[in-house]
Amino acid sequence: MSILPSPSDEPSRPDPFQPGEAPRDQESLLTDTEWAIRLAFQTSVRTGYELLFKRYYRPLCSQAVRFVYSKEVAQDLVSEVFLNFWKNQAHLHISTSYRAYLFTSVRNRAYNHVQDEFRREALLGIPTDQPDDALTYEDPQQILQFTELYNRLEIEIRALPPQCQRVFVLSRFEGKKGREIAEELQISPKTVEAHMLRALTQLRKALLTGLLVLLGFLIGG
Amino acid sequence: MDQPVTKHTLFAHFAGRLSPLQRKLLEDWLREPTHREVYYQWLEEWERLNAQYLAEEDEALTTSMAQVEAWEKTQLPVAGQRTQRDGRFPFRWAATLAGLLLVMTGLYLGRSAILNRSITTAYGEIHRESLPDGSTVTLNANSLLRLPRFGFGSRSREVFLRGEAAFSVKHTTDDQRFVVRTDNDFDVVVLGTEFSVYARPQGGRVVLNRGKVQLAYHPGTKIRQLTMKPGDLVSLDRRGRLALRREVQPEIHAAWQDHRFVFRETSVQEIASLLRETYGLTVSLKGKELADRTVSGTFQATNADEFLQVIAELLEVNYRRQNDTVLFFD
Repeated sequence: MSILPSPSDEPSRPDPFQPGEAPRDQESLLTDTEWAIRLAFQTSVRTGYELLFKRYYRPLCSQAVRFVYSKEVAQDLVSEVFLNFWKNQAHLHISTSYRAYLFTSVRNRAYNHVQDEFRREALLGIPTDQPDDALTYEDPQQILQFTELYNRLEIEIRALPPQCQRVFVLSRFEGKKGREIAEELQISPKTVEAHMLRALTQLRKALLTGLLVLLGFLIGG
Repeated sequence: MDQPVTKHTLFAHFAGRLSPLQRKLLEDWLREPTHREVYYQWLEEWERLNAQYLAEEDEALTTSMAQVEAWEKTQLPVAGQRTQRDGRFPFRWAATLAGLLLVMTGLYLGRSAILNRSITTAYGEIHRESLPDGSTVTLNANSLLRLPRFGFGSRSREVFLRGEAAFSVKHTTDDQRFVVRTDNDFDVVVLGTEFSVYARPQGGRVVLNRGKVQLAYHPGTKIRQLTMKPGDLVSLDRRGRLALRREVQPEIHAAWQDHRFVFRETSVQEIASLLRETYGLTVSLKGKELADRTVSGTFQATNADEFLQVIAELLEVNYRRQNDTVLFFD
């Protein structure tokens, strides 16, 4: 049994979309969904900020954690993005929707974090000095590569031996200490350490080679 | 169906189940900016349906507001408070406050017009202006230069340009920077020098005659710096691609200041867009071959009709002008 919640493991939910359904009203839909927040910003920046936070905090954390595999780090990243939004009065400057700004900024920061953790060089051939916050759109290639980066991470983590996977998720995702994990899984602290080391080595290696292969494929194709 | 990418495609992509062919479709689809909005809209929806976990948001908001407060305290007090605190006020104050708010909103919305001065040129007009710091700027036709009404030269030297202008910037004793901002993903930063800037929808161009300038180039989310030497020409195309080359005759890019036009194998297509920018004329060409022909030469023209006569002679074609439209034909 997998510990990771899987997107496809949700049979109880009704299918949220019809395959092949074309979103005909996507543009009118887009302009409308944030109008209340936009309006709030006009009368009180604080109210606008609070509405924005409540609206997007959860999905943003969920997105960030796919990259960083730690609730704590994910929440810190997302909070930083919001605080910077306030500091820069970003609602006055962005040329995209709030949603696009927030998701792009969170993904940029998440990418920088993963890269700091696993490799010194740029992971995707994307410059290492990726600016944290996005006032305009990134290019299509980069958008896709960010999503593929967390896809890749998930594949690698799923490929770990079950016990190793459990240790990794408890340690990183739940932020549990080595001793707690050892108790919970009834293994020795040394074994916990070994599992963590193995998981991280595996991820590092996979990111190095896997993404090079992916990149080569993209350039070749 | 002319919609190659559906919500289904994107959800598969978010979950890491996309075929290489679908990925290619998605990449092409994303070139359209409105589609990038759709991308994040569906990413949000997908995250809501497939949340990795539910973060505790109330506590996080409280923490965030505390961070905001702490940060606000470190800021210098600003006249006309940037954020309005929510609070309870007696009803009779409400009307007064609403009125005040209206006035402040008006001031806020009109702040650009109050704080800045704009110099604009009509089609065919060239205008020379001395700036308060002793620098001069020559504005080509159909251009806009915006500069602060107060404090220009003492606090900072920053102008905004849309169109084309030649600058002769005075070097100050305290080495104060002179910044030209544009809508074209680049800004020019200088101390004292002569250069010209072209910033129109079809692209950007900076030519340096004397001194040294720094170009801050910011396509999308990236920011790059580039230092230019005299004779360097940097151009940006419509898609934000940057190219640097040596210009043997930098002065030809300033020729327009004397109503002079310099063409070196310039295509009729380019001349058509020059006519649109400078004189507001819409050009149509009869015959496909005409668009591919090029013109070389230098001439002077102080208005659209002079320009059209010379060009027609150079190309050995006829033209007919009706108000703002011109037709060239063999």
